[in-house]
Amino acid sequence: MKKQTMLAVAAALTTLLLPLVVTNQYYLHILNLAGIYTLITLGLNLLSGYTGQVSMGQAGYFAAGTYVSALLMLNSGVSFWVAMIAAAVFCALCGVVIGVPAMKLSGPYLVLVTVGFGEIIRLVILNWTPVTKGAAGLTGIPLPSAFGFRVVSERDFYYLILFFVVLGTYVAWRLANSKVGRTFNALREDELAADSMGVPVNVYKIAAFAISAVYAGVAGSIYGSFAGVASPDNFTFDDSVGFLCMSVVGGNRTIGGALAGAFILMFLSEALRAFQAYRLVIYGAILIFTVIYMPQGLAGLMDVYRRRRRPEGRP
Amino acid sequence: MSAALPTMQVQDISRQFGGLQALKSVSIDVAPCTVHGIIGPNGAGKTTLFNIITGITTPDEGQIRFEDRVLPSQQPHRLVRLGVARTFQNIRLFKNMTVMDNVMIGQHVHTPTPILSILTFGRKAREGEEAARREALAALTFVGLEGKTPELVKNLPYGQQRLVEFARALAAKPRLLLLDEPAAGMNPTEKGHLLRLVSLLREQNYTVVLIEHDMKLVMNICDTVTVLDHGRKIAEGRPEYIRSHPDVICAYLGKGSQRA
Amino acid sequence: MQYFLNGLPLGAIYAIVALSYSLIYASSGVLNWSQGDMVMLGAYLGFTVVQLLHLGFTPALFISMAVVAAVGVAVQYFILRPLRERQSPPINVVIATLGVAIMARNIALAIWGPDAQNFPSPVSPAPIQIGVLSITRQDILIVVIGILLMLVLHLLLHRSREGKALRAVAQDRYAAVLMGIDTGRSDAVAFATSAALGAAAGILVAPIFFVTFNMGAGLGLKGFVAAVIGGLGNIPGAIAGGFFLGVLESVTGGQISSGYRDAITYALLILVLWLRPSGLFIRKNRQKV
Repeated sequence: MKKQTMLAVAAALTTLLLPLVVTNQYYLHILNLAGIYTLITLGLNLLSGYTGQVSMGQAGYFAAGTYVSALLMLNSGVSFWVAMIAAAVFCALCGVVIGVPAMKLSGPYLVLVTVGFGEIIRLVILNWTPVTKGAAGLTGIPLPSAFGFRVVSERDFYYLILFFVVLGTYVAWRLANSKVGRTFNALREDELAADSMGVPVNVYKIAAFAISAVYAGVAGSIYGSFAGVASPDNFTFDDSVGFLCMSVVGGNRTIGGALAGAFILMFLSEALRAFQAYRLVIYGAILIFTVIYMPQGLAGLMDVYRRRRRPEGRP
Repeated sequence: MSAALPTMQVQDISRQFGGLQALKSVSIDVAPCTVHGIIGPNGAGKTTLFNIITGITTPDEGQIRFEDRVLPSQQPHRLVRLGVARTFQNIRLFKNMTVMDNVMIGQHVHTPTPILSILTFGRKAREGEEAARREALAALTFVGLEGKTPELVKNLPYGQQRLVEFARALAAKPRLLLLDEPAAGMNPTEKGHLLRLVSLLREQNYTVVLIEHDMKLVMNICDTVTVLDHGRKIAEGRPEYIRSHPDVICAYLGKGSQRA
Repeated sequence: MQYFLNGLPLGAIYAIVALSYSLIYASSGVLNWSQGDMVMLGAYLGFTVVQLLHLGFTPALFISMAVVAAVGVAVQYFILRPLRERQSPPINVVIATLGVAIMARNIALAIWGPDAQNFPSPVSPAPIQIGVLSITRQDILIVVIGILLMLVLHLLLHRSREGKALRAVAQDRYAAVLMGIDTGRSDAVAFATSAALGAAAGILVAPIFFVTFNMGAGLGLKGFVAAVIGGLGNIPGAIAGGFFLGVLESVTGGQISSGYRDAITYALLILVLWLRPSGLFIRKNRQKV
């Protein structure tokens, strides 16, 4: 036990002190971006990994979070935090709205509805020019401030994002390791059986959609201030696909997997820069390889490893 | 036994699928604290009947009453609260979850889902989980699988998987237990074990309705047997009566094969 | 009415991509997200054959179809087969085919560069007037050849041995295996055929489309939408869905709004799926309990 706590403390310290060591602003920026994406994958894991509702439209909630938050701050001068809460509430509603048709569907039909939603959001943002400034996008999105401190630099954002990642991970972890998580898993495994055992399937499905939407919405709200600008190009179907890849590669049936996925793919993407033109070709190949030979992602690999070391199963 | 009000009543149920009449005006009264068997050749409509009772399929006509309450026809999840639980012909377990988690799902309606308490490591959440775990363990102990709790269901042998499903249904604390071919694919030892379990349940005042193909099992354990053939009820009564009923023999062996 | 006509050629292309999705879904049970990129590859290969080898339209068509079909078989063999052997969850298959799409797009980018290519049309681009309506020869060519391709596919599926095997596998894979049908081979046939059809669509549409490395993305998505409209796995439905989508897009784009056109399409689609979860043209499948 002692070894584990020591490792945990070491990890915590490293995470807290990282920006003091990593002074390269570009790397810090990448880390921050990965952190924001981690919030999205946390929600996506709960929805697609746990509850089995494959979503290829998370970019829609992400976009909604960014735009609702940014527009409120720009037009009504509210603080970042109020804007974020509003964005989260709006996204929760979006999640419910999509959950209603989605709950009757499965497989490709469900995928299509989520894709459709993501595209609708993007297209509304693109075309509703008087409000969203269309393709030109928003600029000068205000920075957040907490307890009198303005969050300005990459380092400042690191701590802000870290706060939300820790909070988000905690909430997801608690939910996953409770009756809620167990019920989500049961829905993925056999919906009819869960229904017959008393689980109100539709309630839980819609809840899963709403939860994943809130996560992406919060991430979007942070992203707006982080990037300072936003345009519909940032929230395309390809981005939704990217989030799904992060979720699956990390391991979409665990919380740890959500944390791993975003960081792994971000770093992979960066590490491959040396290959220039063939960078994405290799990226695609690695993606394929991972998904075939590591079906539960990195977290799955760790789980297999852990089970091999303890043959009698979890205590 | 007593002339008590039947605990479950299938009232005039009919159901058609396309051109096929799966069930036609089927009425069955199930007495409380008995084991009631439903038999019949393949395609007789037995599982359809179960699906109608448990709200998975809607009947074209008729209704189901349990404890003098009409059962909802379209919302399976409401049935557990009303005291009805079932197992499935083709095992429907949560394969990638542990035995304990599978059975704990049976406790879903009996424990609260206190979100705030869950997030804050609160007492309500903890107690809820412990209660669910206790009941699940009790159900697993009853069927004899208490040692298998951390195993993933997909790694269990077939017979044990059936028992896990059984335990899951028991964990739902039903008063009416519907077993769809519980002995299918079991070896004689396992069937004997199952027989003992069902017998115990009857002693503990459960009402059990089961679909089965194993005649020996049915004759052994059932108080009453209903025979369906091509969607209609063709006979009903005690096992000895059914065993030699000419229509029943006809249905199983085909016309022109009546034995004296 | 003009919008209706304008929607037909696009509809034909959507129909081809859609039926490729349905063909693969019906026989292998997977969603092949790289379908749209087969179209792209076909277009580029055709372009290369014409430019570099100085061959005509028809040989370009056949060569391109053959090469892309080989690519399709490679995808089936190296990617689908191991996934199937490992009984991977469907989400993994989705990601894998998306990986193929990413690779295809970036290989195309590396080979042919980022600029849109101009593909010469085998027929004159001048429009033909029919009363108040006008249509180009290229449009007619697309629709005609599109329908021809669908007929060829129909013949293949119903007259050839491979086709019959495919249909058997589509109906009941397990039974087909028991009957001695080599499902690996039928999968390969499905992928090859879909890829070839996609390539043909690519060459057909190249003269009127922007041929870029990324064109597969949009087409793949629209083709998928069309396939779902028709009921995934239902080939005639996919064809109907494709034409329906093409015309719908053209009409809403022209009559209502071009910017919101896709948003309206998707909204309608979600509405349809809400009311009829199995698609517009398919009968509801009962679940076995």
